[in-house]
Amino acid sequence: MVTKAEQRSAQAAEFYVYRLRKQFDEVSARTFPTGQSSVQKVLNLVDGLLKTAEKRLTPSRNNPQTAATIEDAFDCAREAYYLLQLMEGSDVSDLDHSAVSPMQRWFTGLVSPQRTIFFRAENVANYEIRSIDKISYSGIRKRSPALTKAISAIRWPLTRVTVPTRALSILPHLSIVAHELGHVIYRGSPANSIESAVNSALVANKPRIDIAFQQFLVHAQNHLGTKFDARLVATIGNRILFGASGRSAGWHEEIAADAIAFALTGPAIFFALSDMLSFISKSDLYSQSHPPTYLRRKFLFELLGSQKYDFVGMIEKHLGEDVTQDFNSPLMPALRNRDDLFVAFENRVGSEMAAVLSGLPIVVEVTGPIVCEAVQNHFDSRPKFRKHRYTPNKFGNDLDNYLVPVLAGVPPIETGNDLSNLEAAEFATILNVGWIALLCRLQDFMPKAAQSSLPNGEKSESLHRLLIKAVELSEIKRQWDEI
Amino acid sequence: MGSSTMKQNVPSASNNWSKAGVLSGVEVKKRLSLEDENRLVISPILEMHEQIRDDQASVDVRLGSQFVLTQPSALGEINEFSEFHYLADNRLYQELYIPIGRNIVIHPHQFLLATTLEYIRLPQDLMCYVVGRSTWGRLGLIIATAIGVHPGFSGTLTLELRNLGETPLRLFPGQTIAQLFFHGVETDENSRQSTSQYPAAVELFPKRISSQTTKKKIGRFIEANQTDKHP
Repeated sequence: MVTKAEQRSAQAAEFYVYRLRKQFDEVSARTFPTGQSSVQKVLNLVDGLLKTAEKRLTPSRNNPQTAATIEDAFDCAREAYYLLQLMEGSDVSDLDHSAVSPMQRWFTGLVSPQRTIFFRAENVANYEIRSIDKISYSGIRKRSPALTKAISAIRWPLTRVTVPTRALSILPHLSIVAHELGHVIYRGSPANSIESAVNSALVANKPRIDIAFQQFLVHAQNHLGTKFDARLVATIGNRILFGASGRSAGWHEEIAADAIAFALTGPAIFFALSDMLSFISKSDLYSQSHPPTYLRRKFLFELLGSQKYDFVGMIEKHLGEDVTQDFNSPLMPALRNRDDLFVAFENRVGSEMAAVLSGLPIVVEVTGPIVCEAVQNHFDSRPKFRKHRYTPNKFGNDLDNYLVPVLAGVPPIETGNDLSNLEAAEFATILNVGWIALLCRLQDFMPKAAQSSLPNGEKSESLHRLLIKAVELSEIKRQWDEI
Repeated sequence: MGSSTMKQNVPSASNNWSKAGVLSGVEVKKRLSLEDENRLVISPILEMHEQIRDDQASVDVRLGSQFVLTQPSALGEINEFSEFHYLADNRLYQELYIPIGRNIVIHPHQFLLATTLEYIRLPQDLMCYVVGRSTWGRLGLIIATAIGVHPGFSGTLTLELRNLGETPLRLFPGQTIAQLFFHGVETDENSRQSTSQYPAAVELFPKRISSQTTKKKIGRFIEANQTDKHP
């Protein structure tokens, strides 16, 4: 027997579930981008949760209503609501429909074809990756068959990538998604793990790193005086560099993810990250989760101009432009000297953490390039990764083949010499040609057309629409050829 | 497109291209292969042998994924001479993206805007006509009312679809929807150089009805007329 209060609670649950069902119907009716098959799996999960809740709220001889059944219904409804919230922004009205397929392909090609991952856009100036564990559903009793089926159809953990929407959904910025993918690859299965390759490289360079770490400790001691505890400072420093556990990213993982994005998209990630990071923050202060922006840009710039991947030379050769570290981010503040940084951090995070944060760049200046090199070696030595690398040769060919046409109003859609056997242009091609056109040749965009007299904002938008069209049509071409 | 992409510094391939006349399938393919400013761009052509036949004089184009439904609103009328002309007001339109594999139904007497799947760029010595395919015509589907495309145009072609039949028609992006007939335009070098290109058109919304001069002059007539009536 349920009490009066429990009856009232059951009524509330029914009302709640009824409204969730309506919300679910409305979300289901939306159009999701091609390639978002994972969204259907999430919708099936919501449906399964709601069916379980509805069943638990329908008393029968075998299922008498009790406080436990009401609680179960609430649990299911809560999870369903949470999932619907997670999915906000994943339909075509918020998310650029054409860009989803190539991003999805990065994940399926480099992580796992079965990986259940979906993209959504949010009105934020940030990119984020989030994993949702199966464990959330393990406590649900008497699951509906639909819920059981939906849970088993997902390759856990369910992964969601957030990209900005509206004004900040600038197509070439989407190379930052390759950075988010970098996190997943970094933590990949042990056999393929870049994390172990990075750690091996760090061990191989231990003597150099130890010297830097000693300097870091001296810096901390200078500022902490009698409060200095070498073991504690070292522990905090290592936690920031390597992450608190396997689940949270450390500075090294962030740098590795940048380097993975570089391998996949070449100069595009340097331009995108420089632009985005300058926009997000005017401050040179950083956090425990991310290394200083200035250093991230520096490491990418070093990769860009390295002898092995001489994109800088390629840009100079094709465009006659000097490529500098602040190429498109002159407003990004340089890193202050570490004593000033300590003072700036102290008010925010206390003296102990301030000593660690302000001193760690000494170590990362040494480890960052090692991390980057280990990632590049990993990409070059494994065919699965190598075929996704965006090389300076590709970049040079792309500039040769596509830059002039783009400026004349022809988007990069196909590639090849034989008219009857053309292939779809690569996403990285469109991102890079797009960046170069936007940054270096905007004044040459459709010079005879009405656009030539437009303000730069409108002209950029016109070029941007062309790039979006390129992605849409190259993806259609690819899918058509593959089916 | 690879080495077949238009190169800026390559001189014009031939002066014979601009002979007026409708291009055959063979001529169209030659134009697609050029690497200079006379190159014709139609991209992507998903099935070359089906869309361009050597013995025919047209190129089949497909229905794209972008659609715009016009919808009733409580706004005033569209009047380009009014301060609030509503011409490209998105309250009058509903944009839809229908991926390949999905579909949209056009009901009897319904009007909607669509695009070709192919991106097109016409050189300065070619224009083209957009003509509906006869099969669709027999079903009552009219695909375009503005059928001439001028030299220098670049973009996807906007199709103004209207179902004049009595039966709803289910349309699938990727279906061949229209055909393009390419026609040479006699130009001399001077007029070619001074001819403005059309911008890279990938949006479906109408932008303007009259040219600036026409709009200004009719505007003056309207003003004078109003002054006469209300001295």
